[in-house]
Amino acid sequence: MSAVTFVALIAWGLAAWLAIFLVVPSCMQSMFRHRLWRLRDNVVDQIRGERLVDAEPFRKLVREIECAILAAREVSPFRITLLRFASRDLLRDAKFDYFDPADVDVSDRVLAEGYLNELRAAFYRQMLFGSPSGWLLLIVLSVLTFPVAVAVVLLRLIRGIHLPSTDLSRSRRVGAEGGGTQKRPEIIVAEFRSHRAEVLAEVKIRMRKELSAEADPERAVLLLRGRHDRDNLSVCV
Amino acid sequence: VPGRRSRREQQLEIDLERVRGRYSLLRQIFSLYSPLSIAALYIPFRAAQPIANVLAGSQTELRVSIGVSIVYSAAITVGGAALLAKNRSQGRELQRLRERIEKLEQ
Repeated sequence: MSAVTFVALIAWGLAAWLAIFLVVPSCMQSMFRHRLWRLRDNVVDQIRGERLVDAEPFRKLVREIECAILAAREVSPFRITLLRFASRDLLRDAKFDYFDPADVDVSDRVLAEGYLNELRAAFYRQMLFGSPSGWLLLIVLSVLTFPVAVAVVLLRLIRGIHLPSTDLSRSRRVGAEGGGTQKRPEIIVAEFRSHRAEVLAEVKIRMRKELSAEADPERAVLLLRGRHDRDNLSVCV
Repeated sequence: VPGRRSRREQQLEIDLERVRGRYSLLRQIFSLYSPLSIAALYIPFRAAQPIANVLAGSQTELRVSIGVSIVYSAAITVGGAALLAKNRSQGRELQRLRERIEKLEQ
């Protein structure tokens, strides 16, 4: 092996190591922080807009999200294991004032659960995809769960076993039969999602109509230019 | 008494400080793990070198170069894709912040 090849090998190895083990986790951390900032601003907007019955529990959630933003670097299975190991015989009786949707007013509970689920989803996504130890855990989990998934699929294919699945229409019926006045949270969330999808579809159709050259060519060009300038301004500032 | 912390709170603070100290110590210890493990790779490479020299043919160097190039390209592509995704996310975030500021200013 010539000296040039040897040096090239070392340099390429280092570059590859940097790209995978430093650049990718750093990017994932940034995206995690962006997600959490969005969530935090949503909650703060709800509090500022006085759209909540009792804002105090939501302030706790804001504090938790801010802590997660600050500690984004520590969100990895390896570091959390280290933290657990470091606190193994301490903080047993300690009670921390966490955000709990049960403390929230009934009318805001679905919203609170939604926020908490979003925070958890971001956290677990970062745990699994945001660090090398998470990738390792993901590989181990995939290897362990793969035979189970294959067995389930085979069972379904060969024996025709119908495994239980989420049936929203059924839960709607159950909700309607069970009094009809109080809806279950999953029904409310499903209705909200379907309504949002309808509204989005409607907006898309309207935008397409507005932007189509047949409707009004000059207006379409102006709209396009306006959107373009606004986007550029937002990104450049 | 207002302004005076209870014994429980004081104990909690002491425990948190201890956890923080232990955790930073553990992190410092394990931060040495990556460079040490890379350095430790030298030993098996050194041991394998005489065997590789015996088995090596005229095409070996070329194969190693091609293999390393593929790994390098894949790593750089993944890193680049992550950077691209991050940049897009950053752009969206800036746009959202601008819109939010505009809304708050109004």
